[in-house]
Amino acid sequence: MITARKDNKVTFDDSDNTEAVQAETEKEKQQNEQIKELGKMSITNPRGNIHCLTIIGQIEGHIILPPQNKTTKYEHVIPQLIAIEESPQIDGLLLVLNTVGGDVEAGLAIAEMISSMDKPTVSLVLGGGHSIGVPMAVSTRYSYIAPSATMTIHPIRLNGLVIGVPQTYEYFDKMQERVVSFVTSNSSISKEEFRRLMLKTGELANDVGTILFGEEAVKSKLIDSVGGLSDSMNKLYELIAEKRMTSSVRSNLQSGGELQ
Amino acid sequence: MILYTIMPAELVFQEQTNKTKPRYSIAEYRGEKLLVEHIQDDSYEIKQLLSTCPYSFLNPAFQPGSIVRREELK
Repeated sequence: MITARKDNKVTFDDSDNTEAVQAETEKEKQQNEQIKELGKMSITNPRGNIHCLTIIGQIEGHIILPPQNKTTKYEHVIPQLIAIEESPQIDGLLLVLNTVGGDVEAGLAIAEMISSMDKPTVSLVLGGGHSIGVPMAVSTRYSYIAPSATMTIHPIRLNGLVIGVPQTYEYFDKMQERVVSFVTSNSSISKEEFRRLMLKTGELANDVGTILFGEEAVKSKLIDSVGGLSDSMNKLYELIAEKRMTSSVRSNLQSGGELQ
Repeated sequence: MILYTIMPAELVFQEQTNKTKPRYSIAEYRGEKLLVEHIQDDSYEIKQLLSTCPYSFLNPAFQPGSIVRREELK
């Protein structure tokens, strides 16, 4: 039988051809229907399928913020991360950050989830990655920052009633330590340097702290490199290729062991 | 709860008048989660697609601003 494509003008057997064309259109129709009905497209990229997680606005945790805030909700992101880690169709995760900060615990939880993922992860800071956005930006295997993006590093403050006793200071220091230790263990910046940036005066209008531009964030070793979309995608594909290599070597070794 | 943000607390927690308060909810539509705003009777406007699949964002069905009927939502 002649396998005819829709655009194939050379035909030998007319009846056969129309049948094949009909089958083809039927298949296409089914695919389109699937896209329409389920909203899913099964596109496979030989270099690896990437999912992207965009962190925007405030990180929302224990309290629902008023609706004028644009938020990224903890309870959405966590199951998505689990699905990405579990899915055999997904090879890597691109984390795109443009956040003003938010809940410390929710932010740290997301950052911990990402840093403990087995699949290759790359982050890209666009616009801003402030406050709790900093630990999230460094949580991936490799991090990029756009040249025009900024990151604000400042001390943690409490909202609402604050009692001015030494214990309050102690408590804050402890909360801050969680952020400092996560950032320093997931990036190349030293504890001393990060604390120095956090408490620097004369840079922010109404607060102590530092505002780092793209290049400066890389210089202070907080972020790995200055780059954009293609840089981060290429890095992710590179990490995926590396992972495929090591897993194929491992399976080769295992099958070799069984033979002996 | 501790907010670690550059936004002032007054701005984050400012009260809204009930008239302008958007009525947001999260619903499933064609296999993806959406943030929708209830506009009237049984129509909802898509505000945001909550997905990590980049190709879903190319699907015109999920375009923010599109109106979906209640019975189409899960």
